[in-house]
Amino acid sequence: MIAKESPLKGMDTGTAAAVTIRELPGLHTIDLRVAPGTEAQAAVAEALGIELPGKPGRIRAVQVLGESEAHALCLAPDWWLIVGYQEAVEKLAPLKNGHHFSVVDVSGQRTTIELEGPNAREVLAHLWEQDLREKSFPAGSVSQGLMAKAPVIVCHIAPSRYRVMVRSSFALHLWKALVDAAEEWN
Amino acid sequence: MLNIPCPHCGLRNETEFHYGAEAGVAYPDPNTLTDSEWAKYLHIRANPKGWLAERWVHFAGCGRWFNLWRNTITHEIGPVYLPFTTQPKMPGNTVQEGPGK
Repeated sequence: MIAKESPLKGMDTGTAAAVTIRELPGLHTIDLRVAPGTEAQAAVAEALGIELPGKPGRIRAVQVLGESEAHALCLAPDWWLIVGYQEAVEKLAPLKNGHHFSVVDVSGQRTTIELEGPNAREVLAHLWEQDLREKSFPAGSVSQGLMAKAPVIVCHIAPSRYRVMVRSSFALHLWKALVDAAEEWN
Repeated sequence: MLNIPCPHCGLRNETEFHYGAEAGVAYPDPNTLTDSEWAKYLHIRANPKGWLAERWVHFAGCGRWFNLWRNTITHEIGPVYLPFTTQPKMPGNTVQEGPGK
């Protein structure tokens, strides 16, 4: 893999009592497309040793040997992102002749901005038109949409901990918007 | 702004979608058509005042195409259905005022 410079290199970590904003650069991410409910999907899940969440909008935290934190995100009925799983592509390579699926390493496509703290949700809500309340977006949820007009993936990783995955070229714009939104919680 | 129920992602704002015009227009065999028939297939749509079955794509979300019934006067949204499934019946009550009616 080509070493990649973080699009937010040199930006200060925004720290406040109520919310911490930091970049998690270079999270290993693969884009997996496979028809749901097929043998191929079962084979892919077995090769990875994880269970793929079945419903769009769900995240499953997965245990992977040698990784501190890995997640499988279901973005559409046939579309998953596997985050933080270095060996994923290697493990799927032996399946490529027998099954119909697509795997692309998209680690360089986006960077990840993490918001953590009791007011993380309020900061996000300044820029996000979707409902972030617990009943509609509990921990373990993921949603795509437009944040400050930039296409993003928002993950509710754990209570009071959110991740915003954003295309590298939009990262600086979104970072500034988030820091600005966090101002009033300082 | 319309709130559109994506069958995969739930209710979202119109800004996350692109419009795909009338749904259920059958694709004819281009080899057997005259030019005028082909032009009619390409360009002529019902454009009713009232309920219309439409195609939409949730580009900012799941990226999937789907169909729904929408009332072009009131913007009321009726049944939502996936491509290659049976089209639900047109929602009732509103008078259909299309061409030739």
